[in-house]
Amino acid sequence: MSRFHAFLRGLLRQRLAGTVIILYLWAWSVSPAKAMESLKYGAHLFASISVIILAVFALIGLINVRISRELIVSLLGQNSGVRGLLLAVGCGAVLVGPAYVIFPLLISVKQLGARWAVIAIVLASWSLKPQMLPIEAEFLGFHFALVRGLLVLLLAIPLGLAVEWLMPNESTKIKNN
Amino acid sequence: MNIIKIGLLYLFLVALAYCWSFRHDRQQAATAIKIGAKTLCNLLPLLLAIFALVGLFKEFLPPKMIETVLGEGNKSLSLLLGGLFGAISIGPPLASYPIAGSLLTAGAWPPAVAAFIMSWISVGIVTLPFEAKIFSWRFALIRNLLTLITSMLAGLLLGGLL
Repeated sequence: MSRFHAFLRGLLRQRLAGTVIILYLWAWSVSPAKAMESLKYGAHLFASISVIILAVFALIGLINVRISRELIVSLLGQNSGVRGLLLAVGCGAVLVGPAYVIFPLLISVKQLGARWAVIAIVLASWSLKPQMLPIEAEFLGFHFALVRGLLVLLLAIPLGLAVEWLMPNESTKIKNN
Repeated sequence: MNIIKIGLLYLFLVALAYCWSFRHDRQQAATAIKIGAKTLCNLLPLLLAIFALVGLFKEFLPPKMIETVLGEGNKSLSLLLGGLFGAISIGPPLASYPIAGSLLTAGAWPPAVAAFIMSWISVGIVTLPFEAKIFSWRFALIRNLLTLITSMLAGLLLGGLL
């Protein structure tokens, strides 16, 4: 990871934590009792969900070593019609990692000759987050999580094709190269 | 108690997967643990901030206000705001669930909450410059705009299917 990405990451994280601290200072000035209640509620929620969080991150580690990035690159590098698009949905769904890891990975796939639709589909189905499903179900209900997941998968291909349709046609450019 | 039970069950299943993985390849399983721990440590400050934020939401945001802004009263506005709030938010998807859950219990319209989660995860206003730098501005703008629209559409569909 380049220094720029690390910096960007640090900035994002600090901004949120900083905002929350400022909000708490404000809350404290309005009502110390309510600020304490907020903190207690947050801590309680975090404690109750911590076991699942532990399990999820253990799973993320396992997926990281089991499904290699090279494998995904090789599967998506092929320019293979509907099968490629379906494959893109599947790859996006199992891909784990934050944007600053996924974007560089996908541009390498693109440079290997993948269609724009494949890139957009992976980014769409990447929001399925199957490893987070237990947590999502806990907060929003099992049905909510399930239906949302199904919709992500169903809408990924139409979305990807629409993005590609709006992108300039690159066939001539590739020929020139 | 219920949440912890589910957590333990999930932890048990993952532990089984690790047992299998350890027998298969010791080194790889050790690497997996390391990666998981590192990812968690990286995200921990952010997670703590998010849960602190959810606590503030609960104490200071009156449910009535959430109902007015994201409730069933003005459905199209709720949907649009849900999508836009998600788009400008920062943080991992993990953070969106507790926040969305608190919105839902406060009386927000479920499709608006679904649009919020969807756009939280896949629309990134904050990461837009980064996405543009890697893929080109045209791709980044088209993709984020269409994804925002899709998020709202998915929210509506989800409302119909629940």
